[in-house]
Amino acid sequence: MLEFVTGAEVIARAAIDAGCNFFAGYPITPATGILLALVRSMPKARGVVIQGEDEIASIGFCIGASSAGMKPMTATSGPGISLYSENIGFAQMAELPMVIVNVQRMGPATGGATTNAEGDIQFIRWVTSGGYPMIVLSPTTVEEAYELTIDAFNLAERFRTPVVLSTCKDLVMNRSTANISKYKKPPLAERTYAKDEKNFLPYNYDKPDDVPPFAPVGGDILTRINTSTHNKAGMLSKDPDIAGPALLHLNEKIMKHMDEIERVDTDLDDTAETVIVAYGSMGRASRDVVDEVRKGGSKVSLIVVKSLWPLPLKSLKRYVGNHKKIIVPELNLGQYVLEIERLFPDKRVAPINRVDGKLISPEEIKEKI
Amino acid sequence: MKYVNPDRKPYPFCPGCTHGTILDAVNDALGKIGADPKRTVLVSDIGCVGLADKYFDVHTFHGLHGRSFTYACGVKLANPELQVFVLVGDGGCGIGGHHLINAARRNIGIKVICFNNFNFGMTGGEHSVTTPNLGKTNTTPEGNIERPFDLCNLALASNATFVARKTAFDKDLTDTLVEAFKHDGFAFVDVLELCTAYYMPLNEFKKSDMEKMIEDSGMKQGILKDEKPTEYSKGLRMAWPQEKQSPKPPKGTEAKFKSDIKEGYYSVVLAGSAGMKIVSAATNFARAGLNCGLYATQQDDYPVTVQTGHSVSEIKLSPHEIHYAGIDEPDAMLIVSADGLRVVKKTLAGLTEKDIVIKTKDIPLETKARVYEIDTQDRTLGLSKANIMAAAIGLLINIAKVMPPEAYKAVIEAIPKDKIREENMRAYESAAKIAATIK
Repeated sequence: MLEFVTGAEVIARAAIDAGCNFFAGYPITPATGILLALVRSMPKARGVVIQGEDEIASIGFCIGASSAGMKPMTATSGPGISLYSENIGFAQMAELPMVIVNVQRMGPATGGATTNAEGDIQFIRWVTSGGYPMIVLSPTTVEEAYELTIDAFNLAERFRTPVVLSTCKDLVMNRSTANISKYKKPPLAERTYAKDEKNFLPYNYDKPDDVPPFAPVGGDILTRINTSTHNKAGMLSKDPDIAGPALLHLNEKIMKHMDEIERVDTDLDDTAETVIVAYGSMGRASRDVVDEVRKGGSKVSLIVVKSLWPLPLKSLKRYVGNHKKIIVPELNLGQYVLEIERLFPDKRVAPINRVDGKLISPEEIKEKI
Repeated sequence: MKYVNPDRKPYPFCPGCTHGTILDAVNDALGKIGADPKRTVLVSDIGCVGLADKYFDVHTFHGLHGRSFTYACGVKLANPELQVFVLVGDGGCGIGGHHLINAARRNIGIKVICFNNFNFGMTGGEHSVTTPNLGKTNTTPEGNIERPFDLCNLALASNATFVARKTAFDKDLTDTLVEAFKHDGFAFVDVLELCTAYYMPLNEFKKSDMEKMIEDSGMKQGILKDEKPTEYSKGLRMAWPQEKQSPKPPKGTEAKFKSDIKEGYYSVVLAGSAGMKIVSAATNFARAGLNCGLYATQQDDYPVTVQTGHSVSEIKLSPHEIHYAGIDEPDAMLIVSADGLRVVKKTLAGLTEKDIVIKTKDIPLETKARVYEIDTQDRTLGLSKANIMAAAIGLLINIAKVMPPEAYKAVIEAIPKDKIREENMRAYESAAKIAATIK
């Protein structure tokens, strides 16, 4: 059976189904629908929802709440992500789980509040000073938005890190039919809690790619949260022998577990020379292109990237395989294509770009095949 | 009970700095109220005061400059039973002023203690929002031309429910902190002191000079306000139900009817003005499609302002999943205002004889498509801004035969608000009448 919904309603529903019990956000088109939906449903679910005085306060509230053991979410667009930058870095440094929804719109700056775009693809990867790994998931349909929102909470809890759900105005504000049978709810993950007060250290790990067991601020085991580089006790440290490994840990805890993070859908034709690599709006539209091309008797493969970052190297290399030409349609001036060009220097890479708010049409993509 | 771990002392502050005195007073005040260290959270801002967390054996949280108020609020919102206090300097109150103001306004039960020494210490003696006019600092070497905040006034103006001003030299500083800690709501304590590294030497500003400045400026000391409205984090929980209510699982629409669209797409552009219920009319049409088991997408376009300008919705229907929601050549265009026409002129020019245009009589337009008119001046039709587009849709359904009218009527009949349901029913009846005259 079908329901006719906006992405906002589905993401809000998914958040609560994921165990989200804290939402703080500032109204900003096109993300406001998520705040409005949660203002109604979060209190009923005995969770906290608050409209911050600005974006910085909103993400600050989420960080405080996460440190106290809640599962927070916030939602914004480009201008808000810009304001979140420093605090996202703090969440990385203090290893605090949270989900950040970026509903992309036309930029730069205020740009077009009600115009679709996907121009934050590299920005969201490098949004924090230091450039430590960001986990960024990207749905193409409303059904995927449900599943990936819950995935985002799970990965945030599993890795004790902020996770971004990257989406866009079209998915969140427009209505479309969703196949109810396609809503998948993954089992929920919770952060690992420290059991013993004795020998507890807030940032303790055996191997650098382990995730420190968590003790909530205000709980029975005293803990420390620190935005400065710190030792395992959470005390500020500038000592290279302490700060160095601590930062490498932030990198390895995610990069050594890519098998849990890579999410890539494929529709491969082993005999095709060309493959389309797409995500988000164009990931969705490309499915029509593939159908039309094949109906016309030609061949093409499709790779839909649902985990934009860290770059799903293994999946991309495996699925691009022996294709000779890679088409990368993007609603920006070419951002993810930079990664594709870097990974596949020996292949013909054909970007298709559009920044005027309209979708790249199936015709434009077919021409390039 | 000890909250400051004596083994970690001495404090790292400059000789003569009274930051340590204030921290000891915090320690004593927590002791006097019998605070449980495991339910006590110290949030330190950035600056010399930001070094304090290391000395306390309570939960500690050291975050970004100026944002300490937001983290403290987040913790308190998560767990209202905790004793959450913020140690911040006049520097942090500057960069984070907006957060201080709003935490106070909301009455979130965090306790803010401001270590106010009239300059930024840690970064090298720059001026702050409390640096006195004419004061010399490293960024105001010739004397500060700015005027300072009275932070207590700022808190009072923000409706803070507990405000106090002391100096680091007051013998009863601990007692005031006790009152702040006991207060169930937002508390702000401004503690004036001397920066022995910068402000004091640069201005030859001694304790007696500070006391004179306080007197001359008329800044009142002591507890300035102590009111007891509901603390925010507790208040918001009063609206919660006893049992958690999860969102209802999606119901979906049963396909009770069959549409005539067997393959491909049927695309409609609905163009009008803001305030003409274009978006909801389009949604109703799409829902009628779902009643026939069709997939649908809706894209709306309107300016940022509400109630003025154009409102154009695009509906695409199909018996199979729709991936590309764009409409390059619509099968029908429903145009009910000049605003709408203006935006869709280009698309209109691309129509052919097999397409349909339904418009209101007052709109002049040229097209190759078959044109049907609705005379909005005809009173008997019972049409207004609120239902002209609904009538256009009703007319389309009767002419184009893409779905049985019952599928659409089912959607209209299910509209919960009486007035809106009646408007839409009336529009449909009128459209059916017009369609009958065409045949």
